Amino acid sequence: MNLFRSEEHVRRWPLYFQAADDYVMPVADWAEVFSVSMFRHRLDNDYLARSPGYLEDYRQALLAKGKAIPSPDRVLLTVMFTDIVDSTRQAAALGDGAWRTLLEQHNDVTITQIGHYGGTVVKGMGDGFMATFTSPTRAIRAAAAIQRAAADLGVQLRAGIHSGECEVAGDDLAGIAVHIANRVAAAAEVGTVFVTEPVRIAVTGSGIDFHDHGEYALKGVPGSWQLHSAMI
Amino acid sequence: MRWLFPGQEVSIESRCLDCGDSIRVRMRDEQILEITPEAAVGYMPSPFARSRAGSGAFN
Repeated sequence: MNLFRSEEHVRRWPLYFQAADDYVMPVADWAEVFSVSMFRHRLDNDYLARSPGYLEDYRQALLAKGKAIPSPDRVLLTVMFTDIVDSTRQAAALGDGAWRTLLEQHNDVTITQIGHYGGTVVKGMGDGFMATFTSPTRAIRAAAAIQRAAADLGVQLRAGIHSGECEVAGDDLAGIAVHIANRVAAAAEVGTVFVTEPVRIAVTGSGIDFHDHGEYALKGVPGSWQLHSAMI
Repeated sequence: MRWLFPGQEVSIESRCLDCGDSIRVRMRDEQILEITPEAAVGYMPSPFARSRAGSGAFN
């Protein structure tokens, strides 16, 4: 922290960033903000990994002082959902042991492909995955690779992809963009990668072609959505 | 200080980055014992202001 005699002095400082008033406070107020439990964890070995989860604590302390941090918890991402088709029926047909083995193999290939294409696994959901990518092209290629690898195991998948702003909620993501991606996966035909119109537009020039499937009503999502399947 | 030195009195001697005048802060836990001058302010561009895009979890 940089200390100044008064607010007048901080505003005269050549390195003062004019838009940063939220980061100027009386020292006593900073002392209170720094007393929140988030800062108790700073010496923990896993502090950096866990710090996003502590952010709300810090935000509330700043709000109590009339300050706010920008919204770094709202980020533009490409969200991919995959889902095993007819998983319940397959599990019943195979039996618990064989199904568990198959599911582990599916999980391995899915996580490997997500990593290969630079994505991040947000969470597994029993018979599917949620992952994010900074590039929609890589998300599409990852989804297609996962489907091919799963097909080799005898597993069919649906995959849905949407790009939009997501709210970072600790280790998880939330927001309408996540719901849309999930609904797109549910709408996808077996063995296809469905994407929304924003994804199709975003990957223009990538060499990926699409087949237009028309407009869909996505459950719980306002409006109608033009969906396309990636032809790769 | 609240968490680094619990229960101990901590004294911070610094200088104003604008004029160079001395600034002194004494505190124990979250309790301020002295701020000289009283109008002293802290300026801390938050690391959280930067996008999390490079921070790991959701790259």
